[in-house]
Amino acid sequence: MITPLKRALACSSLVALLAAVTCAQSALQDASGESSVFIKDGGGFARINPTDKSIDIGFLRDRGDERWYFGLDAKGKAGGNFASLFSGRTPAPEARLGFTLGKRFVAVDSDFRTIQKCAKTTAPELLANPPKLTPEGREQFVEKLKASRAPELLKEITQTRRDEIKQELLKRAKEDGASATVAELYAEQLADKRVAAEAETLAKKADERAEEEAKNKLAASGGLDPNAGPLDPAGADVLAKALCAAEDPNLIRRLDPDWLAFRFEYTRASYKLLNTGGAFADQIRKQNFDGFSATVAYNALITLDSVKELRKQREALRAARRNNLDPPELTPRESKGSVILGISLGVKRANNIDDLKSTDVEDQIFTSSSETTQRSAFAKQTVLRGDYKEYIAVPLNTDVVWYPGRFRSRIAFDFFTRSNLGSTDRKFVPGAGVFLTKEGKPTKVVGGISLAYDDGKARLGLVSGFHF
Amino acid sequence: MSEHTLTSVIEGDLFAVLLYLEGQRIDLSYNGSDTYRSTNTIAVAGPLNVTFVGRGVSPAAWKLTISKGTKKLVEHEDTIGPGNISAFSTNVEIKEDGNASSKSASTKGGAKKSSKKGGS
Repeated sequence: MITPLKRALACSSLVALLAAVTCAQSALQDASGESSVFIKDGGGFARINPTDKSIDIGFLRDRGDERWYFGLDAKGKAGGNFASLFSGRTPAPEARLGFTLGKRFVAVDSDFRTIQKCAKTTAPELLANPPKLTPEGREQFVEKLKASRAPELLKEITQTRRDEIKQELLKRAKEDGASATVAELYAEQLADKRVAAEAETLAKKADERAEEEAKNKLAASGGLDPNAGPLDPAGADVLAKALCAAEDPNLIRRLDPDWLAFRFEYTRASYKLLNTGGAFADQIRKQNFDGFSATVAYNALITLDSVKELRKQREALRAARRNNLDPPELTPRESKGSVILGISLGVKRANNIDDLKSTDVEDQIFTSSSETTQRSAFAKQTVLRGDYKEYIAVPLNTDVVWYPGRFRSRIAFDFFTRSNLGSTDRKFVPGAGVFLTKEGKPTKVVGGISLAYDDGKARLGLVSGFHF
Repeated sequence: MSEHTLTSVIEGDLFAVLLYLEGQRIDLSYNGSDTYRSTNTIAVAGPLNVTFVGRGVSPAAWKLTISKGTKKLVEHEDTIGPGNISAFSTNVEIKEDGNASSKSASTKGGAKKSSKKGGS
């Protein structure tokens, strides 16, 4: 069996051939590397694990929504050294085929379905009463139009005012008896100066006129966004979905999402067993193992935040929009935390290979001697020693993983049970663990420790995770 | 109405994702390493509406990128808010040169405003 530490070390030594890295179904594991929390694992991946001397390839079709996802994976594990994976000299003594099938949003409506339902009622509402600009929106519209129109208007106003001043100056100069040429020169020079002196007043006038134009445009549109154009059914549907994503209170649920996962595995393994009490020819024998397992797991993410309050906020947003008011200002707040619930039940044909001891056996296959030298050759092999057994196990695992909000989900506490309901090796192991997660990635464990009470003894487990 | 080939990428430690481009649900595919991706041809009249809903353990970080060729039209980073949900909506004007200007809004746990878009 691969211990969590070994698994973690294996993950840390992945070679450059990696296409994707996800080292475990869940890093929230106990000392045996078990968990009932099935967080998605897969995609198109190929990984080589030199420590475990294995190759793992797989594919997962997952769209991230309520539709079924499925995956296939295969693993080959070498019996000899790592190079034997490639050389083919030593056949891999363990091969595993796995199939995963899963579905999100089992007990709750999916986000897609919730938004579809909401949009179905919202789109006709929008067509009947196209959304008007809110006070803030109106202000923004006016400011935007002012900014684009005012320079143009200022140019016009300045030119008109200059013409007025010039005409006035020409008239005055002519009255004073100046010749037409002199009057023209005089008016030209002085008009520019006077217009420059009035620049501030003229700019203000241009702003006022631009604002008036914008307001008139708004009034003409009946409060609708004059830039938006008319709303057609397709546009209403697009807008309704965007609004529903932001406003629909039905998207806020205590338990959301939940997911169900089925996992089937077939393992073919080959072991060399040592029987010290047997006849010489039977002392080392080859043992083939055909193992299978079928597991069903149900997981759910639960929020510890006030669902009622969050729904109210969304209702307030919707009400403000329907009344063409600015959206209410909401104080940003931290989450109070989350819980992941997990339960898994399986049936598997297992063996006690993890309880057998690994021993090196050497056979002297050649001896020769001269007067001064004795030469020997040995064939060395690693075998397993102990009483080999196969049995049917019925593992039942449960986990309650609590992420306290005050640690921003950087710390997770896992309260778990590991049971075997089968007739052989029947057991019930309760335990708890604490894990440190990566910032912004609450399901990616950096390290952790778990303590389980197993067969009258406390068993400590360390988990270390490496994420690339 | 013009057609655009757009690439959508969502990165983050998320449990569920839902993406609409111009009201159409986008079929994403998971790459096994916290990234969902898709490339689609979308018919757009006026600004392109992008609406996203993500779920995960708060405050998981996520990033949404919508690109046309090598030009990024939308690049938005946020975290999952209270209620383990995050919603984001934006309208982006796709210019002929592939550049874009956008107006966006995001919500965490059912908060804040949405953007508005007129029909064609």
